[in-house]
Amino acid sequence: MSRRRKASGKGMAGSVALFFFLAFMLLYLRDMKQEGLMLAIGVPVCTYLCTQVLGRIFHVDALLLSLTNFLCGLGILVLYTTRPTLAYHQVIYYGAGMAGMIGCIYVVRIFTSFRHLIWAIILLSLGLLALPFIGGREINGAWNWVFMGGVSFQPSEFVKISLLLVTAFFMNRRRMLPWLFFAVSCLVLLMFQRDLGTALLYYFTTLFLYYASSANLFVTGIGLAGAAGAAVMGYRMFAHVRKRVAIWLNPFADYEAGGYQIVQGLMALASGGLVGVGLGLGSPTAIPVYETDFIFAVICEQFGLIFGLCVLMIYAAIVWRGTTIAMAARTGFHGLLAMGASLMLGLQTFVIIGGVIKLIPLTGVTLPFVSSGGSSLVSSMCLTGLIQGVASVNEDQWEADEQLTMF
Amino acid sequence: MSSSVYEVLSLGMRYVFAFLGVMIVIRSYLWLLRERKERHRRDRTMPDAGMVGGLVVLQGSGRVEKGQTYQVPWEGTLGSGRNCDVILPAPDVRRTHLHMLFTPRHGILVEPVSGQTCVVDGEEVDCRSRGEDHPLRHGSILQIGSVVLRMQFFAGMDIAHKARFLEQDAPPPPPPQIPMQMPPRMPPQPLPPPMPPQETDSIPEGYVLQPLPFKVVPIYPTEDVEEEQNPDLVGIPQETVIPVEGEVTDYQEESRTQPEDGGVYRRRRRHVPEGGKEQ
Repeated sequence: MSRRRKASGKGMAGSVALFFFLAFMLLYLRDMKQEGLMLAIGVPVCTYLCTQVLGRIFHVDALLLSLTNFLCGLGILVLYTTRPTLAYHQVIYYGAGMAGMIGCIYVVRIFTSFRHLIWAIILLSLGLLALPFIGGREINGAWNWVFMGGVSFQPSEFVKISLLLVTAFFMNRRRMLPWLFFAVSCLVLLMFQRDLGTALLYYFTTLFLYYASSANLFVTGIGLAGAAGAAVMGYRMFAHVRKRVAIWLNPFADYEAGGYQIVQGLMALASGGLVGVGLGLGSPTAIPVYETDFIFAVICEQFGLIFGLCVLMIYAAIVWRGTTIAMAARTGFHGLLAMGASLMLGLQTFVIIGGVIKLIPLTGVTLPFVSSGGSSLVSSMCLTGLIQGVASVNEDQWEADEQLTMF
Repeated sequence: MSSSVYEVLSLGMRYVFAFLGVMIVIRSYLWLLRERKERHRRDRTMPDAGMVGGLVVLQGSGRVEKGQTYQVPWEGTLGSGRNCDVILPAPDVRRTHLHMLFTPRHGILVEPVSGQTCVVDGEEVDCRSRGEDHPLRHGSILQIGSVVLRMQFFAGMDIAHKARFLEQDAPPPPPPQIPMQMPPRMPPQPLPPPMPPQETDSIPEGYVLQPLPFKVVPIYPTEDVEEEQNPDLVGIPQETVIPVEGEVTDYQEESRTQPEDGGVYRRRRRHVPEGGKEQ
């Protein structure tokens, strides 16, 4: 009884594996392609084994692992129905993301203090964020991609991790200036790249993390007021912000040009109904950039509103779990790290799904774990790796505590 | 497969997918709730988990009374404010007075906030001094204003400086009875070092109290109440027993306050019946 009963999660992993097996088999019957059969066997086996094996090696959180695996597999599935090449790439990115996650678990477990590394991390991150000005190219109105030596990636996705490390480190030590400097420089660089969605994400994560670390309502209120002021100023100053808001208020007025994407997304949601139009049916490719920003609309069209709600609940469960792990952490740094990672995942999900369902103006960020794209998938899995690392440290310390109580 | 057959199949399968999605969500939330219960049960079983020891008051001031023990967490702040982890409601302790961080190599590293000072083992520490030079070890004296405290680590805390106690000729304590099976993942740890018997309620001889850097104006009424100290319970935190609400009635604390242990400060473990909360 000294070790607590651990939920093995076999039932959960079994449900996930069954879901993917059925879905990919159905698609195999449609296409009769060999790759489809390989995915139909590979994805369920991979999700099942990953949950069972990794949980034995480290003390990782099996629930968080199964949920992230489910979302990653769902991304591969939805991409396979629409554009199979993207799905094959996504499988490779998933492997890279797994490696990144295990790396992050090790980083959290091994480094007891980032004291000697933290300024190097700050300089490296600022350099990475400045890279698009040198080797970048404009995509969808933002200069946030780097093309170097045949590899293209989005540095702002990876700087998320160092933003969390830096803010958690300095907030835990009650030193305000260093993290303020880092966050403001990141924001300025992102503003110059016109990557407003990511800037929004960074800003609110830092602000809420500051509230979590200090419980200072006054300064947090000032931050929120500043955000509101900046939004009003941006609305007055930038034409494209005004256009975005106008599209959000009434996308049907400008159906042919600006509002086309949102209207198509809303139509996909509507045609899906409660249980969807059926896997592999419907016309999800009618939505512009369906594979990244509007993937939630594709999911809702094919699987229906009930399933879309389930996906939302899974994101909520991930955030709940991350917050619980943060609260159970023994040191402030670990607590803030896990809190920030869950906050960032939750905020990103809210920003993009809110944009797709026309709850808030649309800003271009990806849906974590599901959207196509290597940078996004790897960085989301690294964020969960940070949470998992804190969870495994917690579990080790509980065991040490149990042993100490024996004395 | 012809497209019409596939369409029928796909239309039929969407109910299965919706059902599986709902199943996954229900399973995950049941899992979350179950682990929550488990965690609460664990918290009740080990009320001292996450704590490294206690600070015993040798000389009080304000509402800090002699003989009290304040539990010290792994990492946290000490001050008179409500938001601190160790709350010393004394007039000459600032709202947030110092940060503490436990490291297994050194002990507790003390870092006063800017402008505040404290005295560790007779040496003054301020925000500019390196914490590693003045760590709080087992038996160290910490003086904050006019409050004098002695650090006591829990028995079995793995601290490198425990060799210090082996040099002193103290009678070895009886080997602790290990009532339950050890966790399988941890290698067996050596027994806790013998610790000298301690007289908890007096400032050691030869220790010179530092003069206060400012004048103390008491804001709380101080009364000198003579309290009888049970010699068997010296060093055991009296104020910090966490009350357990109605659901667990028949718990028992294992007897870990054997008189022959002297000043060894042990963690408490409550016996909570298996599945007590779940019913």
